[in-house]
Amino acid sequence: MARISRRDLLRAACAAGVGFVLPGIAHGAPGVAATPQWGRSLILVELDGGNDGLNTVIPYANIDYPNADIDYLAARPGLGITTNIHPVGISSGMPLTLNPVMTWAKTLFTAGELAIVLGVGMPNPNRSHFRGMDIWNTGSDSTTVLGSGWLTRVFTDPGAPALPATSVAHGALLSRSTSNPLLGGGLRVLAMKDGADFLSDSNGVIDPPSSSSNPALQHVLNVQHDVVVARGLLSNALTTTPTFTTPSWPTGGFGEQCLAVAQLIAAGISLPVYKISLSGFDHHSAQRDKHDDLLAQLARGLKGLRDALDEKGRFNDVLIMTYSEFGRRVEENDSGGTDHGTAAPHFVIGSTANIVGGALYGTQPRLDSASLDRGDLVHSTDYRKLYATAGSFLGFPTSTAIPGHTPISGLLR
Amino acid sequence: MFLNSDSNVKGKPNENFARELLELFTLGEGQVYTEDDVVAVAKCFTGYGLTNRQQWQFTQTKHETGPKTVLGTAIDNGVNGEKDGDDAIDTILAQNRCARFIVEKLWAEFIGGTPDGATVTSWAAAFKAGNYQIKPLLKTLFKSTWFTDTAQRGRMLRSPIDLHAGLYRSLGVEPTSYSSEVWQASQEDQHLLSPPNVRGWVGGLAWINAKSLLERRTHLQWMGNGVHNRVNPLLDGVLDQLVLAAPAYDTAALAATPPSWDPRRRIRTLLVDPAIHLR
Repeated sequence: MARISRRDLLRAACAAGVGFVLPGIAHGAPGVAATPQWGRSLILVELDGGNDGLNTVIPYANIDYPNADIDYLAARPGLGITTNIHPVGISSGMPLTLNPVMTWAKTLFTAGELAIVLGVGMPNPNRSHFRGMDIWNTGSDSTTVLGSGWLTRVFTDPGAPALPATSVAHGALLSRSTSNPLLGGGLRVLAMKDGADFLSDSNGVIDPPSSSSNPALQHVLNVQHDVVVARGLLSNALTTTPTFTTPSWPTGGFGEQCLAVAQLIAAGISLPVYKISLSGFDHHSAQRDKHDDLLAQLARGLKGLRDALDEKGRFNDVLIMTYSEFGRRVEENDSGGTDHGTAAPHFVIGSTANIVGGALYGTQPRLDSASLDRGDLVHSTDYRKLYATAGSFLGFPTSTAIPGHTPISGLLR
Repeated sequence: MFLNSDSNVKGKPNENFARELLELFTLGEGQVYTEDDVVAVAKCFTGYGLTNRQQWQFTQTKHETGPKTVLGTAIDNGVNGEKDGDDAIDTILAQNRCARFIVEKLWAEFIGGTPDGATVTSWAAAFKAGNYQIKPLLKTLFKSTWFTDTAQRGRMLRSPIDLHAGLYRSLGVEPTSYSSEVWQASQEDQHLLSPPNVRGWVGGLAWINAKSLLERRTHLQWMGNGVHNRVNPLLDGVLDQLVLAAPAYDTAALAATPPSWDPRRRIRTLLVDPAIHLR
């Protein structure tokens, strides 16, 4: 089939005056996809509990900016981190470094495969775990309650194509399945531990022949049906579970989730969305060691995912993105921890073919008291811009699903 | 100490307890209270703590004195600082929203579905007027047709503990291993006595997803094989009603194993019917 250039496509689209869907662009497409790419996957990494952004991407002082850390250290006499071995750039007059434990993340940054988006948050921020995570999962304003996941609206947009018959599902949740950006809309979403586990447990499940007027029972039947359909498609792809030679995974549940996703994608099961979770970020007390441990797991897991996918030639098809219900307060509390806050940085990881990594996006929120909102950082980047960026990578428009928010400028190639 | 209350001290209020008190236990997220109220309630509770022997104690020097405004009410007990916390609670309980919130929670637990607005209002008013006594409220609830109506039965999903413990109880059989039942419940997203966060379990339809359904199914098949020869044969004729809260879904499978047959086969069929997950 003849390669169609993006310019030809756009020219033809303008001439036709209407939107139309072409077959997917061949491998090697740039980061921004003009049409839905069923071969691509978004891997969402949920940082459960509210990640302390200020000890993740940390302001420090140097010769050129000798006072850049004054506010930070004044607010965090106990929790302040002064080791700045992973510099990533300067924003708002503050040199910034990754937390010293995030060596693997710095490696990705240097390779141009990790982008840092600063000051991600929302107007009228919400500091409740449950409401906060609902906001992030539904892509709503903080004061509006939406009943559907943001990705649900993206995939059920009237202009969006239906899931191809050969696709197993719209997404898989590897953990914390109650926190679901694909909620509602009748999408097929699988909760599973990993592919092999799913196949062995689903052996013998029958496809329910009819429906029920009882909504609770109908829910059970729907899930059962989805299991049967998914099993049929998965069992072909997963006759053997892929193994990898390159990565070293962090021990524990997060590492297992990373491995499980890598196996599924390497086996050719390219669900549009995978969601994995790392829990434990709600550090109201004794934060330092626990937080460092989580960040180290995160960095190692992301690197492992990258290496595994790259080994099988699939890293070009993937965009990895962190999110969390909120950041934490600037000032430490009296228990060596921090309370719920607002804006925080997030990471976007992808191949150099797709993203302009090794760079900062957005603006670092300032820490001087005049710049804070009742002790909290003020966001510079609406969180929905991350989602618009993800939609653009997958080739699905997001202007109806999350109106008024465009992709982060310059991040995707 | 619950939600960092012992670290909530003068000059450094720790808002964790105050926030969850308002959000999860009394008023509901974003209802009636503001962020300022969270901070004010935290200040009211400064100085609350425990002795080394886990006895409650109040330390005036750790308490933030001075006026606080909670939900529009001024609170300031000066040197009797521990009364600030009591007054904060009284102020919260004086909100009609608080009574409604608790009624709605009990509705969600025992009745399910969208609560009837007028009924909730009436029960909440009586609950508040009766000084928040739980027992009369529960009595009203359990005697109401909302609860007793058979059309309401089987319209909610069983939690893992409802499923496991409920089935063993209905069948009059002891599990062979309690610890493996506990482990199994955690595989089904319910770590007993250890909810994922202070809100508890989401519950409702969230109990059943692809993973939890498969886990349940595998366990129920195993359970069926294990209990079939231990169930009292006298229960034979009533097994369906004992074990299912709503009519069985797979009527064909059940018809193939009539009650008059070997009860063992009937039990195994019942336990893998999708209706087993209903309560």
